[in-house]
Amino acid sequence: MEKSRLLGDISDRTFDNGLKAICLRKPGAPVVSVQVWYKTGSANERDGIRGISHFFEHMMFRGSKNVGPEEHARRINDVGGHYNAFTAEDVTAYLNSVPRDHLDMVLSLESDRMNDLAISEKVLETERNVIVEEFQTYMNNPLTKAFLEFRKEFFMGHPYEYSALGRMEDIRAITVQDCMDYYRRWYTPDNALIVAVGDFDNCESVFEKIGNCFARHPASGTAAVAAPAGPPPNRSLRMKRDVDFDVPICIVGYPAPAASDKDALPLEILQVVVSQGESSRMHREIVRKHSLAVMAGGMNQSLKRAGMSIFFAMFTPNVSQRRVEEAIIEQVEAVRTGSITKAEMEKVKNTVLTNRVYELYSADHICQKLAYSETIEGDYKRWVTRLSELESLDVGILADAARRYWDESARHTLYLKPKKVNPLLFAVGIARKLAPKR
Amino acid sequence: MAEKPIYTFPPIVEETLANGLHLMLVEDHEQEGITLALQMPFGEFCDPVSREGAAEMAIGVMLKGPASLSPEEFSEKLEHSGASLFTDVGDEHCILGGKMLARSSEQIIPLFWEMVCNPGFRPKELARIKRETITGLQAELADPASIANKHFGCVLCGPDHPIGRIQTIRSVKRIGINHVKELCDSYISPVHAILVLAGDFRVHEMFSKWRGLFESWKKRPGRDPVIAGPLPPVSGNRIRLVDKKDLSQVSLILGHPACSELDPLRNELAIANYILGGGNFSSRLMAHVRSKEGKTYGISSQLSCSRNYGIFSIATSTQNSQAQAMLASIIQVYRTLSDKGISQDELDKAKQFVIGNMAFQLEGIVNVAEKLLWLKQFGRDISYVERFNERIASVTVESVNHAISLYLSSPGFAIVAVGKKEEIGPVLSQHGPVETVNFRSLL
Repeated sequence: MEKSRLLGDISDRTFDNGLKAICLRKPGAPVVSVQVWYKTGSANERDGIRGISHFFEHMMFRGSKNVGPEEHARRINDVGGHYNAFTAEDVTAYLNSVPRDHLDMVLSLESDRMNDLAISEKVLETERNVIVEEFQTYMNNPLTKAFLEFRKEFFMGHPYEYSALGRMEDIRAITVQDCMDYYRRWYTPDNALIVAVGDFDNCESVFEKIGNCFARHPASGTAAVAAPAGPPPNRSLRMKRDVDFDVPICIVGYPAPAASDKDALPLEILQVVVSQGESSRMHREIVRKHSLAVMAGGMNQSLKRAGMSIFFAMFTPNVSQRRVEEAIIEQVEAVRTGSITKAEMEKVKNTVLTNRVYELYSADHICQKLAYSETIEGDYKRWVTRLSELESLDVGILADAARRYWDESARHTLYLKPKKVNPLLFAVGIARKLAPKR
Repeated sequence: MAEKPIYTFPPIVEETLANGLHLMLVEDHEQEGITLALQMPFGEFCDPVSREGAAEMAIGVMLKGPASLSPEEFSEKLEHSGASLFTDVGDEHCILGGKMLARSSEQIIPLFWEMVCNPGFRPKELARIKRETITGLQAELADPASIANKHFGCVLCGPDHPIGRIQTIRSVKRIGINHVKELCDSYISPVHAILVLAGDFRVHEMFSKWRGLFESWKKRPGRDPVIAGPLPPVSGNRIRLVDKKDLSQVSLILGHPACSELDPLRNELAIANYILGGGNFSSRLMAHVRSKEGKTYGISSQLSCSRNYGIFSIATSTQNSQAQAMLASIIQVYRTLSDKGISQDELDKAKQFVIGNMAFQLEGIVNVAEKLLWLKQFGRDISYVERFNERIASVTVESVNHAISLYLSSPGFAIVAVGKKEEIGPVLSQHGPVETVNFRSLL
């Protein structure tokens, strides 16, 4: 498999205070992306402060001793750039993209909020209202709400039990002191990663700039090490939720290994074979051949300590949930007990390579992939070498991974049942059954 | 002295072929990808009355492959090489595109072209797409912001205007294969189409290799594109409440007509929009409603411009108990801009944004291809982008304030709120008569 352009030129540097930096020069559009990932997220929370990682992500935009509230965002905007942030189970990430001449400004802003954040009671209260609004936005969508409940059951007793949204009662009670304690514990250079990708002269000059901005920040000396948690408890579960939504949905989930585990890539490949695209097995069998579902798909969520493989189907009310569930399971069982064809393996390799090529057109995407690989998979080189890793896999390894993870004893099922049957949708389903077969 | 170009496009070769197709080839060796994007003047405005969704379905059926291959064979050939298709069906235009590895282009380009020139139009595939669409419409009902968006055009322009016609389950069910085929026969023609091929190739080699294929698309006179005219102003508030009883938040959209893409004050209005609500934390709405008052997770304004019309809108959500204060805040911020205009400092920052942001709109071959199609759509050449900084440099506080006085000083708004009738109805009625519909009316 041919090697993608660019990736041979990645370099990294670890500063004395523990901050690791990864850098890649990407000529092309005159832009640069800088991301800072802190290795903390909802898995590092405890009862009483569930949701603080996400709360804190908001506070990082609310000013420091040197920069006014929202000024970070405004300065990025005002040069035509964009910024974002997200909180996940194991990381909280801050993303900036600017025209190339403004790299120094971004580094200076990120350095400032790593060390000099300021939090006042008044700002905390205003931001609490914003977070409550965000929480409600998610909860006003019945599908999101039901899936979060499913996820909670799936990871019950595991550090991933609570999503980054946290608990409303905790969000309402978080104090300035809680935030400052969290900041001092987790927002330190030895618990952070900075990635810079873009149209700059060379990586060495970028490392120098990073050093000038960040090297003065003291290490905490207590760099975070994720508590080994392993997979969620090996148990099966059936959930049913009556939802104010007209389309029945069946979700089947299985545990998956941590992203750094050798089985993660085989399961990712199997997911492509089973559920990705119109030539996937689920689409061919469940949607086209047997017409049991209108849409069918799946995804793997690979996290630092464990993961989840899910498969889903949306169907019409005239089809029984049991039949749809059996059809999904049948496809999963087929890869556990059978083999993947040579053509399917070729397809996966070509799909992964094409995705990689298109990711490489965007500095922002490259940054995100490198940062994910370093913080979640344990080494950014995993992403760089993914294509050759793929070459070394054979069908036996794939089936073996599926047998060990996608097992009946660990299967979780969620059935989202419409509260009311919509007669129009029912009619669509009946009409489909009566339609002549071609 | 002329400023340095903001961006320089890679080498481009273009020509209008004998069949009327305008072909543009863009050589870019950054990565080993090739993108192909075909734009045609065929969009949702072409939907027959009461069959809203037909244009989207027509494109959907085309994507199931040519008559010479079964849909299964087509998807297998395409996906086996890692290639994928993308579409964007807008009001007046649509784009059909493909992304592939350069090494697969020998197989994928002819496959794509066969799909365009000789689509399968199988009734069974239309039936599948209809089911998927109906399920998608159902899924949208779970998202209050989507519901608000769907109603907004109808409240702004009325149910009979192309912008106001809403795709529903009923309208989708009325669409038959004959309607889809007739639409394609009428509008899909090389005469009005533009094809951009961008990526890892030599333009002259590519041109000689594929010219014959692209010219094989049979020339036929397509019907004139359906383009909407300018929109009448909103003189008083027109309010629709979409009742959804389980909501603890209300989703709001309010807006009015604005300038067209070709209006001489288009860039001035874009800058005014950035300052009012388009500039995220740099905008007045965000600063007032989120940063100062904490009333919402997000608020933004948008300016979308077509050939003959434009629409300005503001969208947000808040808790039911805050709805009254939220509406009052939005209207106050809007009226302050109308009455007092912008400052020099705001203009300077907004100019930097629109100039700086152009670089992101040109990152990667898919963005470059789409930008070229956008330029052609409005009869512009590449110098419009390359010299965009010079255009923006000529914008002044006075010219922006003039644009505001013409286009952001509307006496009334089209307002759509999705929320619980008992709590939101009394709030809205303070702003004018309220039409209430159930959220399921979209079905």
